[in-house]
Amino acid sequence: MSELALRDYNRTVLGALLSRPSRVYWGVVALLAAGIGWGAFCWAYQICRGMGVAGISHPVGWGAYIVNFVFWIGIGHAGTLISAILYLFRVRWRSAIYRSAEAMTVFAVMTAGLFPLIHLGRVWVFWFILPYPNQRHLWPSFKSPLVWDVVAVTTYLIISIVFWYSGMIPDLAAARDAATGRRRRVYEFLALGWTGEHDQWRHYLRGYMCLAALATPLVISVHSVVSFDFAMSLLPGWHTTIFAPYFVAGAIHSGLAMVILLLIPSRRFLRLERVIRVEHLEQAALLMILTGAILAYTYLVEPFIAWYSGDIFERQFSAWRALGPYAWAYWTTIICNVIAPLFFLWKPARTRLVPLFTISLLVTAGMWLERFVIIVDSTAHDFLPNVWGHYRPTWVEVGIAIAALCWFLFWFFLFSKHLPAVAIAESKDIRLGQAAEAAL
Amino acid sequence: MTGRRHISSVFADMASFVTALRGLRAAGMRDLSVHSPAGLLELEPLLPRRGSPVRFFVLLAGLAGCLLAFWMCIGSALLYGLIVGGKWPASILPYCVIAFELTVLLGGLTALAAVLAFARLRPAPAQPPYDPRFGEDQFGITVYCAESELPSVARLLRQAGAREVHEQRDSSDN
Repeated sequence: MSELALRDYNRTVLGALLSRPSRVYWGVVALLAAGIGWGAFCWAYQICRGMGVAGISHPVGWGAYIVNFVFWIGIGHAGTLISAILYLFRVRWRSAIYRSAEAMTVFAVMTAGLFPLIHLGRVWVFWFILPYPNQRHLWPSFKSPLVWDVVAVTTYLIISIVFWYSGMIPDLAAARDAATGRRRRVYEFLALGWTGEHDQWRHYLRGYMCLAALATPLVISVHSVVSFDFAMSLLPGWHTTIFAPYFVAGAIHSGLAMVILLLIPSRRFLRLERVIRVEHLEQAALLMILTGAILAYTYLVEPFIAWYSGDIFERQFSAWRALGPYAWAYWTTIICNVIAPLFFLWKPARTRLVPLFTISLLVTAGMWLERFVIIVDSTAHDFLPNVWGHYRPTWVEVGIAIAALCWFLFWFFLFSKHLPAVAIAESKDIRLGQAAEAAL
Repeated sequence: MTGRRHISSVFADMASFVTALRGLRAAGMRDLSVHSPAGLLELEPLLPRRGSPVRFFVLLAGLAGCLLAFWMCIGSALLYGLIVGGKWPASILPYCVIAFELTVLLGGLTALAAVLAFARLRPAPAQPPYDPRFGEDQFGITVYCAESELPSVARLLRQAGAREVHEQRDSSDN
C-alpha cells in the first residue's frame, strides 16, 4: 500500500472524526447504554437485597468481581506499554495504534475501578479506604497491599489520562482547524491554543518524554501491586514470588489481544485502513508470541515449584487445580493463552484479519479464565479439607460482568468518533524526522 | 521611528525550510518564530532557543512526592502508635510502594503543568502568525527584525525556497 502524504493523515483521521455518525453507530451506542443500564439494575438489586445475591460466600470470598477487576486492570496495560515503553524505545509502528490503545487503557481502568466498589457491598463507605485523617487518627494501614492497590490504580488512572490527553493536544489543534461550529469551539478549548510553534514543541516533547519515562515503571508496578493482593497472603497458589512478573506478562498479553480486537473493526468502520495497517497489527501479534512465551514459563514454573518445594499443601493444590472440578478452566487457559498465540509464528495467521481476530478473542477469553483460576481455585481449596468449597457466579455477577464490557465499549465507541483515533502529529514526526536528518 | 517589523514565510518542504533556518542563523537573526506540523528536535541546533526546564521541575516534583509519601505513611503510623512486638510502628519497606506511586503521580502531574506553563498553553484561539496549514504539511518561519533588515531577510527567505513571504508591521509600532 502506498505511503500517505503528510496532508492525507489530517484528511483521513479528521475525515473519520468529523463525518456525521451513522444510525448504526448510534444504534450500537444505545445498545451499549442499555447494557450499562442492566448492570446498574443488577448492582442496585445487590445493594437492596444484600451480598447474598452474589455467589461469593465462605470459603470463596473473592469471586467474579475481583476476577473482573484483575482482568480489566490487565487489559489496561497494553495501552501504556505501547504508548510509553515503545515511545522510549523509538518503536515507529506504535504511532498508528497507540492513541486507541491509550484510550483502551483509560476506559479499562475506569471499568476495573468499578469492581472493588461493587465488591464492597456497602459502597457508600468506600472512602474508608482512602488516606484521610479522621478524628480518631485511624488512617488506613499503608502496610496493606489493598491500600497499595488503591494508590497504585488511582495513580495509574490519573497518569494514563494525563498521558493520553497530552499526546492528543497537537491533534486536537488539527481537529480545531478542520471543524466548524460547536465542535470547533470544543476542540479549540481542548487544544489550548496550540500552534505548533517551536517553543511549544520543545517544552511539549520534553514533558511528554518525562511522562513516558514515569509511566514505564508505573506499568510494571501497577500489576505487580495487584499481584501483591494475592502473593502477600499465605494461601496455596497465591503465596509465590513469581506472581508479579506473571501478572505483568499476563496483563500485557491480554491488553495486546484487546488492542487487536478493537482495532480490526474500528479501522474498518472509521475507514482508517491506510493509517492503521495490517503490519501494525502484525507487530502486536509478534509481541503476543513473546508475552505468551513468558506466560508459558510461569505456567510451567508454578507446578514445578509446588513439587520442588516439598510443601504438601502446594502439591495437593497444584494437582487439584489440574485435575479438580475447575480443571476445564485451567486447561482452557493454557490452550488459549499459550497454544493459540503460537499460530502467530505462521505469517498468514498474523497478517490476515480473521485469524488475528479469532486468536485475540481466544487469548482475551483465556486471560479472563486465568484470573478465575488464580482467584477462585486458591480460595476454594486451601489448607484444611473442612473449609474446601465451590463457587459459581450468579446472574447478578454475570449481569454486572456483561454490563462492564458494555461500559468499556460504550466509552471506546464515543472516543473513536469524537476524538482523533490516530496520532496525526506523531505519524508525521517519523517522516519529517527522517527528512530533517537528510536535510541537515 | 526604528520600525520593528516581522516577515512571515511559508515553506512546502523540509529542505527549503532547513536552508532558510541555516541562512537566518548565518545572518545572525535570533528573533524567530518557527512552526512545524511535528516536533523536530533534530533542528534545534539551528534554532535560537534549546532545551526546556520541564525536566527539572518534574524531578523536583517527583522527589517531593516521594518525601510526601514517607511523611504521610510514617506520620500516620506514629499518630496511631500501636506497638507490636516491641517494633517501631512505622515500616519503611512497605511504604516504598506508596512512595513510588506518589513520585510518579506528582512527577506526571507536574510534567503536564510545566508544559502548559512554559509553552503558554491555555484555552484560547490560536494566535497569529499561526496558519492552519502548519498543522498539515507546511512549515512557517516568522522573523522579527528592524525595518532596515527587511529586504535582506525577505530575499534570504525567497532564495531558500519560501512559497509565500509576507511583510507585516507589528501592531505595537504605531
